[in-house]
Amino acid sequence: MSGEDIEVTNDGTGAGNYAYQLSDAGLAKVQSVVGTNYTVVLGGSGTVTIAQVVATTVLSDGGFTFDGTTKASEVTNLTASVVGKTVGLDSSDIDVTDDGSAAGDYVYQLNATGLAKVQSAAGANYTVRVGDTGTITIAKAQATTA
Amino acid sequence: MIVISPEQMPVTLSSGSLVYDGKTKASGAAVIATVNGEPLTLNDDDITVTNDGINVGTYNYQLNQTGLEKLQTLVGDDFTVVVGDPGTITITPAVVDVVLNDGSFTYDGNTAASAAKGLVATVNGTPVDLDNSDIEVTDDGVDAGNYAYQLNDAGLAKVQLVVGSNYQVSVAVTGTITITPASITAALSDGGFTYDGATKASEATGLTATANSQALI
Repeated sequence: MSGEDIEVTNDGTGAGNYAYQLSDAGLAKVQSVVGTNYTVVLGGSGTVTIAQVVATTVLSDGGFTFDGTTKASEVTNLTASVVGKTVGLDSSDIDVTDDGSAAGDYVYQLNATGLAKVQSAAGANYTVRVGDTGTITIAKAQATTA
Repeated sequence: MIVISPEQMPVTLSSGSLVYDGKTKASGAAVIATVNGEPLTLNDDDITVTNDGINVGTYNYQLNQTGLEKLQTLVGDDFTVVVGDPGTITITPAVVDVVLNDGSFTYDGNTAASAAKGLVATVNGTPVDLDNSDIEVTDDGVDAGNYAYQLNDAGLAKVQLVVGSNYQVSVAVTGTITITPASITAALSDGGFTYDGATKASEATGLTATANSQALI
């Protein structure tokens, strides 16, 4: 069937389910196929599903200089990017493996809160999945001598 | 003295007829007696009808004494009027039209119009049930549409039997058998595609409408 044979309720391009039914033209076409021995009546609606596109997050690397107290997870300059959207992350959005305040590289990934935040930014047309981990680097502090 | 006997003159009786009406006896028919070329219209006082009745059939009649005396008076004394052969009066059947009802059923792909149920011929207010042996259908078929039907010889005989011999059944207007289209429901497939930001749901491809397990469009 072509577009003129159907009528879609609230037709659109966004992901989701759309109910459709035969249009008058479509009904006439079906009637002409079955011939005069039958009267075609409309049944239940069909469904056209526009599926979400799967999008994978890209996490930035970030870091700060060792200060003896700030944990890697408290870094403030991380972002997650997906389908052209960039979302700023804070400590509530990420899980840091073996989090700590010592100098070194820490691996992080989005947690459920962070994923929801990115999903919200991407919108309903996308299903966001986490991609590769990012890295937080606590740089060694410059030692000073008395 | 010479006595001259009057010549005997026999009466010729006409044939009469009337159409059955359920009440008029054969003796009510208009008949004429003729003697020596003189006609006389007779009424029911003048004749005796054998087994007089109102039903269809042929009845013999003869002049009775009253009729004979009327004719004698008509011709005078020169002749002696005598009865001749009996006359006949025929009561013919009343013609009655058959009214055929209309029938219908829903198309099923194999039942012909002639197999319609509930067909009835009505004659004299009496309904007579008909089946497919009683009718002829013009261009009989199984497809939806209107079909004209009429009684065939068997159907006519059946109706004739119901009304009896006092009526002559006459086929009149045809009846109509309608095969109505069957209702068929169009089932729609589900379909879809992946979001691309531009294609509308109504532009989905591969959607089909199906009826009776047959994809239609």
